[in-house]
Amino acid sequence: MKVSDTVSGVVLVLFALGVFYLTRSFPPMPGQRFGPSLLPNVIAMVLGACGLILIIQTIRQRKVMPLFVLPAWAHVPKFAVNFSVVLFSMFFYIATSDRLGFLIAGFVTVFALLLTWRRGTLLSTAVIALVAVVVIQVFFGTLLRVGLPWGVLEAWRI
Amino acid sequence: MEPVLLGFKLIFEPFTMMVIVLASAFGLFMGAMPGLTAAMATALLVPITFFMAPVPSLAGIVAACAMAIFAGDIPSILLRIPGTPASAAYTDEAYAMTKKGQAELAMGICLVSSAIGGIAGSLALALASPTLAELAIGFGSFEYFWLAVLGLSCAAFISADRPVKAVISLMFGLFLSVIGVDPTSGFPRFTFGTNVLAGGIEFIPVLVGMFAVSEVLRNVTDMEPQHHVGRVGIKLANIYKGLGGVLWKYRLGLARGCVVGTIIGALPGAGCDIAAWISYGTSKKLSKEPEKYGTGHPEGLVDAGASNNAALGGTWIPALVFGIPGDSITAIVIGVLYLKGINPGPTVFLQRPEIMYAVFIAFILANILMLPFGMIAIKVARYVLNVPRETLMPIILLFCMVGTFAMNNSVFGIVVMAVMGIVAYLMEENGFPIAPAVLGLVLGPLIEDNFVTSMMKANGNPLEFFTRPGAGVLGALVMVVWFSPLILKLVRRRYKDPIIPVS
Repeated sequence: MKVSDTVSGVVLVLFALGVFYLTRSFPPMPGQRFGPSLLPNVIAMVLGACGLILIIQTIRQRKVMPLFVLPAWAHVPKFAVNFSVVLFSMFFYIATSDRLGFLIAGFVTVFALLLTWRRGTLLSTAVIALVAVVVIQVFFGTLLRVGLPWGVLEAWRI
Repeated sequence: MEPVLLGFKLIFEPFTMMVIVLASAFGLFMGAMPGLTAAMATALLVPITFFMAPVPSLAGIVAACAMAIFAGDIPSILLRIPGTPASAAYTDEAYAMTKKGQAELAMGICLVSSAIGGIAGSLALALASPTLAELAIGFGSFEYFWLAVLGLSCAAFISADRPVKAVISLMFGLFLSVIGVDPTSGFPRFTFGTNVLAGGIEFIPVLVGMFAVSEVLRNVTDMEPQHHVGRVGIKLANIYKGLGGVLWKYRLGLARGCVVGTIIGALPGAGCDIAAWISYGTSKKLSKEPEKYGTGHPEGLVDAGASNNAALGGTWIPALVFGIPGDSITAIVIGVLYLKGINPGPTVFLQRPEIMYAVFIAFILANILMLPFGMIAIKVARYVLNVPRETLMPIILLFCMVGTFAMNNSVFGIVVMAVMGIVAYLMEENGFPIAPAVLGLVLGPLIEDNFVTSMMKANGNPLEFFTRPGAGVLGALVMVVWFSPLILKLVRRRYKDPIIPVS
């Protein structure tokens, strides 16, 4: 998604104002005039200034630009699906990995992504997804001893 | 001499050697696959190195990067697609050689010049760093503050086409670094009363999101068919045939590539890709036969092939000596050093010299290993390049999520990774470079700590920042970098006025 520089500029200025507002409640360090709010305020000042520069630059170009433009791929169903399926699979994994366990959540994630992108039989897709999940489980879970969640498969934990 | 011997011992331990070999294979694969970069390879390695001692983890990163920068040349030669941005400068030239039936020679040149350039960069790193570190040992908080600001400013101004956007990206990274409990006062900042944000935004989820997830998003929405890897039909014979003669003929260019690459790499803000562009350009300018460039002429390949690998060693000089990263890979390395409890900077050469020597040895070793490993990679490239990206991307995505989770067993890390991946994708779409954001996140704590300490020493008087000689010089340098775009603009405007009429 292309956002016009005017919009980015306005967002940055608002963001800077928000930071100034939030840092008002930060206490100063004992015996000093400054404290934990010092760097955030400097950052907000620079961001606000950069936002204003972006706005001024676009005004001076005097070209009328749309505020938001969808990229070319978003109009092609195949690529729009590609993009959303990545977002959805991350969301799915975050939401379910704890309850379902890594093996199931990971398998479903990879299987769904492969199904969308790859041409091949259901069986070959399932085999690739299964191998990927088992290899990652062995590598992280067994070799590096990461406590990957087992979820509903808890009873079969190795 | 003792730390050097200790460095050798640390590197030649069986576990470290195994890590180097595996990381090399990983780096060769990532570099050779178009769309997967050296920075992404490093980002994916970090969650694994998290579980290792400092030396094997650093050696692994060194080996993977060196191999990835070389391996980027392989698809350039076979498919006219640079495997990493560092090979883009001479992709057309390399492919023109393939069309002339000289694919073997092009492979040979790229492999050997990469190894030579890499060794030159490593030697420069090993020789220059300890000397520079001695110089930097007298630095106090004022100097460190300016050094960090200088590093960040160069990163924002040198390579960006629109410095404003690079500064915004940098500030975004710095802002991420201030979220969480403030280490000096213990006050929670921007946590909105939540516990998950109190620990701050961690470096690895941001890194994996920005360099790997955003890359996955870009790959799956890539509509240009030329980026889709085709079948490689070329069979390669002996790559060393006639190579000696060519390298000897262009030995001066080879040496120039090594020197230019190392220097460009050592500048903050310029990495391997810029080194290759500059070396290719210089080579063409200084060549006796510049008209042959672009038609499959090996001269530019020798220069630039050496240059991008030499730059890799160069980028580590400011990173190890001052703790100031010059590009995204060294920003990752500095993050890794902090995670291992090693504070990069001159004192590291006093406190843990053996680790620094081990890094130098790893660099040289990786570049020597590049010759046999590169040979194998070239032989199997035909098969590797035919692995469809559609199969690879889901596995990379799952790997990212598991790697991020592995850091502290929390799903929140994956949330940060996903959000940062989307943010980085949107940023790049709109012309905001992402490397400065990562630099900002890594250097944020260093800047804040030195800024607040210096402000306390100075009783809040900003002029004190310029009173020490070292700090004054560095501060002045920062001002030059900051105002250079403005000065350049004024100079250009002045010269636009036709003072001397053009006949």
